[in-house]
Amino acid sequence: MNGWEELVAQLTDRLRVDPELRMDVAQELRAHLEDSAAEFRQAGQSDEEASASAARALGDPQELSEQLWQANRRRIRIRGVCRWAAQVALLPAAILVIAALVLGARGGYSLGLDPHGRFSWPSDLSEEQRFVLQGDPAASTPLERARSITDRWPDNPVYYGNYVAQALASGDFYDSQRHIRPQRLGEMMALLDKGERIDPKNAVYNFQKASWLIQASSTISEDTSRPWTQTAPQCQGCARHYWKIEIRDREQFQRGLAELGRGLPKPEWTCHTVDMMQARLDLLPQPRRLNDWLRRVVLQVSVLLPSTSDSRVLARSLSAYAIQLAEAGRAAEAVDMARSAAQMDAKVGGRAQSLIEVLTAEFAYLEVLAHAEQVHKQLGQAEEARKARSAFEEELAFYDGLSKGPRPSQRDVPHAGMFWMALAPGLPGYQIDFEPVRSAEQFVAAEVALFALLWCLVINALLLGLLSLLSLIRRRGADRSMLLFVGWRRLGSICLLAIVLPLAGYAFYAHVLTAADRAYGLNYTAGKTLLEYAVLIGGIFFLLVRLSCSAIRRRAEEIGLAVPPRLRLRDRRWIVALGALIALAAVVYLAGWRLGPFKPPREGPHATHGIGSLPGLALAGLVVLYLLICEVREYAGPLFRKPFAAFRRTLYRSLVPIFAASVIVVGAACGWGLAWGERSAMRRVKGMADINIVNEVERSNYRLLRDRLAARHEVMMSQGR
Amino acid sequence: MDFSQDLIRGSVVPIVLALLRNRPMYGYEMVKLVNARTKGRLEWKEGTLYPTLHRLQSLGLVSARWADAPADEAPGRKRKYYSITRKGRTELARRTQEWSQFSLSVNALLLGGRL
Repeated sequence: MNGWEELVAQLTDRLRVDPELRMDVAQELRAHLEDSAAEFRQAGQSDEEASASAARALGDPQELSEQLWQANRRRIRIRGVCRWAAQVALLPAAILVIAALVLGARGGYSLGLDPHGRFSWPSDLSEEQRFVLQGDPAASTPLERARSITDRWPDNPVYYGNYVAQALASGDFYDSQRHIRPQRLGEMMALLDKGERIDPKNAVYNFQKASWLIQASSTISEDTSRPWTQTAPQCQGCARHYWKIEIRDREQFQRGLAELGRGLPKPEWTCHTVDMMQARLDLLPQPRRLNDWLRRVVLQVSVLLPSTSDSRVLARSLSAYAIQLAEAGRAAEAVDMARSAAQMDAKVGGRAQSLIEVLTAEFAYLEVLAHAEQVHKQLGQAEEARKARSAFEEELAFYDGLSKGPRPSQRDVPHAGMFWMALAPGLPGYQIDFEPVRSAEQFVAAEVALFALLWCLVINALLLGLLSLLSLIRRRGADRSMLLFVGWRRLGSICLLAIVLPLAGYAFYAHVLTAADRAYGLNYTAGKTLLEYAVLIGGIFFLLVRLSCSAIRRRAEEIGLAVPPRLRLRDRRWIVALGALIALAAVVYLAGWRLGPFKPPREGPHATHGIGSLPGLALAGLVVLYLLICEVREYAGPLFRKPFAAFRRTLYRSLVPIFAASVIVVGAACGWGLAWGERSAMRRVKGMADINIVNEVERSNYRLLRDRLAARHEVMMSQGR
Repeated sequence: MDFSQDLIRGSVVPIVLALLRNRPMYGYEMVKLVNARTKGRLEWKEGTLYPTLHRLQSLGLVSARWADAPADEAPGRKRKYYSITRKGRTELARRTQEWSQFSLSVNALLLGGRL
C-alpha cells in the first residue's frame, strides 16, 4: 500500500452512488499516482517522498473531489436509468418476446377445446358464423346442436340434411341389433317428408324412406342353398350367397317401393354432410401457421360420415325381391326391380362426395349385378344372364385395376414429412405435393429449437437473477454485488461471435451447401436435424455464456475487483479432449449421412419410424450433456473460493441483462424470420399440397369409379325416359 | 512567466482534444506532454485533467478504454486510454477556429495590429 487508498477513497467518495464508476475512477487515479510516483523515484526521491509528492501533484483533494462529482453527475444519472432498465425491464421484456413468439406460433385459430369439448374458434368470426360452426352453445348433444342450426335457418337444405344425417347417426331409431324401432318409424317418416319438401330434387329422402319402410315390413337373409362365385383373384373361394326376402307387410312394402319409384327420376342425391363440412371450412380464415392448418385437418377428420347401411340393405332387399318375382314368373316386374336396384346404386355412387359412399355403392352395385344374372337365369334368359355376368366381371376387374394403383405412403416416404407420412390417405393414385407442408414443418422445427435456446437463456437469467436478489437482500454496503456494464464494443463482439456468426454459418451450411437436406422430410432426417440444432443452439448458448463471462471478468479486472486466475489449457485438457471427440463424432456422422453410409434406409420400418436416426439422436443428447457440464464448470470452479466471492456475485448479477438482451435480439430477429418462412410455406399449401378429406374421392383413383357409376346412371336414366 | 488561472482553465478543452488528435493517450501522459511542450509554463494541476476528461467523455467528445501498459514501461499494469471521437474532432476544429479569431482580435487591440 502506498497510502493512497485513503486519498483515492476521499476523492471518489461523492461517486459512491455508482459503485462501478467509482471503482473505475479510483483505478484511474491509482494508475496516475503510480506513474507519477515512479517518476519522482527516478528523480532520486525515496518511496515515501515519491508517494507524498505524487499525491501533492494531484492537487487539492477537496477541490478535485468536487470537480470529479460535477464532471460525472450527468453520466451517473444516465447510467442509473440504464441500470434500472437493465435490471427491471430487460428480463420481463425477454419473457414478453417469448410469449409473443409462442402466441404467434399458435396461429389465428385458438388452441384446444372449450369446456364442452368443442372446438374454440377464431375470435373475429361473427355470431352467425359461430352458430353455423358449433350450433347453439347451450345445446348439449351433437344432434341438438345440428337441430338448433336448422331451426334458425329452416329453409336451408344443407343444414337440414346435416340434421337428418346426425339423427340417423345418433342411433335413437334403432334397437341394439340395429333393427328399426317400429314405434319411431312415423317420427322418422315425418322427418324425411320435411326434408323432401325442403329439398325436392334430392332423392336421398325417398331412398331413406324406401329403405326404412321395406326394412320394417320384411326380413332379408342369405340363402345358403344358393351360392354364387366370383372370378376375381382375391375373391376366389369366397363363399357368397344370394339374398332371399320374406315380406311380412305387403302394403307397407309397396309404400317403400313407391318411395323408391319417386326417388329414381330425381336428378340429385346427397346427404349434405360433406356440404356442411365444406360450408364450415369456408367460414374459417385462411390458415397462416401450420397449427391453423392442422386445426382445419382435425375439423375435416371430424366430418360426419353418412350412414350407408340403409342404402346397402335397400339394394339387397330389392335384389332379393327381384329373384322372388322371377321365381314367381313375373318376368317384367323382376327385370324392372333388378334394374331399379342397379339404378339406385349407380345414382348414389355417381353422386357420392365421400369415399365410403362410393365404395358402398360400388359393392352394392356388384351384388345387384350378381343377382341380376340369377334373375335372368330363373326366367330362362340365357343371353341376358350371360350379359349380366359379363357386366359383373367387367365391373369387378375395373375396381381391381383402380385398387392396384400406387399409394402415396409407399411412393416417397423420405420426402413426405411427419404429417404426410402419418396422415396421407392410403388411396390408390392419390396425388400429393409434399413440399409446402414439409417446408412448414421444418420451419416449425427451427422455431422449436429457437424456443429451446430462448428458454435456456431465460431460465439461466431467472436463476441468476434470483441468486443476485437473495445476495442483495442479505448484504449491505460495499459488500453488495455490482451490475457491471461491459461496454458496447464488447457487447457487439459477443453478439457477433456468439449469435451472428453461428447463425450465418448454419445458413451457409443449410442453404449454400444444402447440407441440411431440406428436400427430405423430418420423418427421415429427424436424428440429423436434431443433432444439427443441438450443435447450433448448444453452440450459441455455450459461446454466449463463455464470452459474456469473459467480458465481465475483463471489466472486473479493469475496475480492480479480485478475479480468479484464468484456466490454462493444461487445466482443462480433459474437457477440451472430450469436446473434440464429440465434435469429431458429430462431423463424421453428418458427413456420413450426407455421403451415404449413415443415411437411414429409404424404405421399410426404419425409414418410416425414424429408427435409422438413432445415432443422430444419441449424439444430440451427448452434445447437450457436454455443454451442460461446460456451463456448470463456467459458473462454478474457482469462483467459489472466498477471495472471489464479490466477483462471483457481480458476475451472476451482470449476466442477467446480457442473457435477457440476447433473448430479445435473437427472439425478435430469428423468431420473426422463421415465422415469415412458415407463413410463406403455408401460403403454398393449396391444391395438391393441401389435404381434402371431405373430397378425397376427387384426389384418388376412385373418382374414376364415381364417374363410371355416374355414366352408368345416365345411361339407365336415358333408357328409362 | 505564469499564466492566469482563467486563461489556463479556458484552454484545457481544446488542448486535450488537440493532444488526442493523433493517437490515444492516458491521463498522466497528457499532463507530462503539456508540461514538457510548454516548459512548465501552463502549470497544469495534474488532478484537474481528469474531471475535464470525464466531462468530455460524458459529452461524447472522447471515448475511453482500458488496455495493458507497455511491458517495458509498467509491466502487468492497466491504463485508461482516451481517444478523440468524430464529434470531438468537429468540436476541436470549431474551437481552433474560434481561438484563431479570438487571438487575432485580442492581438489587434493589445498590440495595435489590424482587425
